[in-house]
Amino acid sequence: MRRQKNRDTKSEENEKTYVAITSKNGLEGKTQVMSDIDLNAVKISFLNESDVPEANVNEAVRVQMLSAKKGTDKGGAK
Amino acid sequence: MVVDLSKINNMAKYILAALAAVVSLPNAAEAKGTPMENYSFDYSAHQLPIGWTTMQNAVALHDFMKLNSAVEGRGGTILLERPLFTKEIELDIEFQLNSNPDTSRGFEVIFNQNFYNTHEFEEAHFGYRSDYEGIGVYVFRSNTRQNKWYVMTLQGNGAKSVFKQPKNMGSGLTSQNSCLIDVKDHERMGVRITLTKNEIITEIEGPGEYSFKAC
Repeated sequence: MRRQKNRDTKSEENEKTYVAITSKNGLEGKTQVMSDIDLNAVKISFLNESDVPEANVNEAVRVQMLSAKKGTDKGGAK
Repeated sequence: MVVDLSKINNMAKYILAALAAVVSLPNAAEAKGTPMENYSFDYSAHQLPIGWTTMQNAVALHDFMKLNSAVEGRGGTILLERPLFTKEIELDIEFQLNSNPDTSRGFEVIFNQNFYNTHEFEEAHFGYRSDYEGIGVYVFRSNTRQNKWYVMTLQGNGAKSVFKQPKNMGSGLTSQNSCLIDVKDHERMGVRITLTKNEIITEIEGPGEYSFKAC
């Protein structure tokens, strides 16, 4: 298990963290390198229940946000 | 002035039809969804959805995200549409590479303290900007290391701190901030990133495996 010290000097309470996953094709020397990548599942789990964004979570600290579960509804579950 | 009533009737019909079409537009858009609608599988426990917004080549399909396609010079990004107010999270990513692992580049996961500017994704400057504040976990192929794939973690307050301060976490690819990952095309693999206030833990899941192991 890779453990590394987090030297973040701005780890104040209520500080925001923006999350992104990104991939970019481009040149590697003179060769074009391209990635065809699927994300089958992306799941965020909150280690503290109090950090879960909405207050109606009683037991499910682990919140599945994007699942590979087939047949699941998609697109703005509002 | 002579007014042809039949024309008025026809005109009234057209107006009514146009009004009806306008009035029905929102319902139609609602039924079909809009192209800009955020993608969310949030069927669990939130009152409000926390979804991912796609950018560039990234596209949400029925049961997976196409993060990037094999198109020259292009890229793809998904953004968590709301910021998190905690650094104590665990992020699991299951991915599949459909292109040749020997000529693919990979992807990166960014935890940033600043809001993103879209052009930064297009120019792939994350982790290299002078004002970068955050953590980057890179799943990438190293062309200088026999085309092997690595999971590497970097953190810094800019290019100087990332690459020139040896005490900072990572200054390029080292044994302290990276590990090998076996990448095969068309097979599922995974990365788990656990952030706490004091450390970052990365774990990997190779092809054919169904649990994360130490990185």
